[in-house]
Amino acid sequence: MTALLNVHVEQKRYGERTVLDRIGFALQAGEIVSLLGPSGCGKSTLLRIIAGLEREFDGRLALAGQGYEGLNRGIGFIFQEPRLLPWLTVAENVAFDLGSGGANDPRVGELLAEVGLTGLNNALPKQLSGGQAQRVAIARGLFRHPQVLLLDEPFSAVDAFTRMRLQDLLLEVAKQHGTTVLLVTHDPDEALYLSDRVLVMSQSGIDVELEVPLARPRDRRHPALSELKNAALTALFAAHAI
Amino acid sequence: MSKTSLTLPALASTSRRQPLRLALSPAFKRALLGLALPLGLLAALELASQLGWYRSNLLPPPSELLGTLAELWRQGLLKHLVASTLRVAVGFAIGTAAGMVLGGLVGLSRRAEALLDPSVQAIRAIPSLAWVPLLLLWLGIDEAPKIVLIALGAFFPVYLGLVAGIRDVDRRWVELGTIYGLHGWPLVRRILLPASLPALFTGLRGGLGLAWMFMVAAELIAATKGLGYLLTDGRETSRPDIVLTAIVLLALLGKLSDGILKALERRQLAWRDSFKA
Repeated sequence: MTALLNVHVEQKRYGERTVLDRIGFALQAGEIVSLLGPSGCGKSTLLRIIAGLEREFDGRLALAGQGYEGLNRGIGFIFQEPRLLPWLTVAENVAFDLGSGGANDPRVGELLAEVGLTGLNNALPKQLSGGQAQRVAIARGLFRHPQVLLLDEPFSAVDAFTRMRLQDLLLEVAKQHGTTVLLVTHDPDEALYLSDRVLVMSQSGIDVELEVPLARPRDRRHPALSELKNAALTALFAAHAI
Repeated sequence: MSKTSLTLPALASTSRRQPLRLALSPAFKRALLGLALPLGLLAALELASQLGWYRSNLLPPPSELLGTLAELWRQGLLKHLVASTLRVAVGFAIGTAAGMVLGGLVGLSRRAEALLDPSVQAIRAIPSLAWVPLLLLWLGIDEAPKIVLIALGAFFPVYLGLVAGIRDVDRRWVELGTIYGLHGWPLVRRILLPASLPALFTGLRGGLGLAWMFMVAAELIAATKGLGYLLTDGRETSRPDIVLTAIVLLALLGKLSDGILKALERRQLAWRDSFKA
């Protein structure tokens, strides 16, 4: 079986500094994978390379066996902050891909219902809470039917309880749409709760790959998660990341 | 049970009607507060003049100004008002259009900035009234020099506002546009222009204020009609009441036109999540 997404970065430099050095991995269709690591380990840069936002690097990217460079419609991106355009309504933000008039697309209502924001079509971003805004961002990310959804520390700016609800929402919509998910996070609990596989990353690259063999829905208190967290922390400690 | 359900709606409807009348009052109260100072000053002036505390030949009391206003109206005040307003409207429109075109170019293109901005900044450094003699020499004393001077006044705030607005657009919004494959004109239309609208409106309101100012300057120098002409006329005929009436009319027109822009701004920028005291 060929992988849905193939990533191989030979080298990525910012001036004299090498940020990424020979990193590679593959995502199978329908998988949820996390890149877990401390700030500055290059995990966000790696995500931006896959999204096509960083084009200067040595390496190869392939989606469904097709090599690509730069932006790719099959790849969606959700930022750390919601990044909604404040002058557009919620519906216009969700349907941003279609341009003006997109707000009337029937899929807007469906997606808003899926993320639990029915009826907020005409609200402005300033009227939303942080959690609601990130839900709109998820709806916007799904609007283009991406095969792979990339998320860059998407829940790090909300409180712990909102975060847990948003994590469950992400699992739900990913399952609903059959979306493959690659998530960057610095929270071991989040990575292990969400993912099928966790790639533990430090300055030296991907140190350890942890499989999470638990069926969903998962119990956040499951002892296997704690054991895996210990393994992740051990790997990070060994890499002098903590 | 049925009794309470009958009385409750009645209570609710009366208690709903009352706050409705009160709900209008905060805005009304604010307007009253704003009027308190000028009205109080006028009343004091009127009183002082009636009591003979000062000689009113240089500072006529409000009641006399009302008489002057009526007299001017009979002599064709409307003609002066229309002349001045039209000059401002045409000059402001030209200045705004030029400011938006050049400001847009300079804001969007580093090459256009390198080419145009130094020259624009150099021209901006010239006090605009210094152009008056040249404009009179080149364009005569007709409408043209006045319109050009007003346009010049309106141009710079609009230009600077739009350039600053585009330059201050959040890089992250541009990145979002990039992800959606926007570049060139679609990126400008969907991200850069809406994002720079607040700064543009600040520029427009500043430009309108300067347009009124330059209109007066132009009319003071050479005009046969307009509020600036009334000012000159009042001075030459030793009629401070005419001068003061013209000043009050200028204030009202300026405030009215700014109010229109402000209302437009509030409607266009309703999305802004800004501080409201």
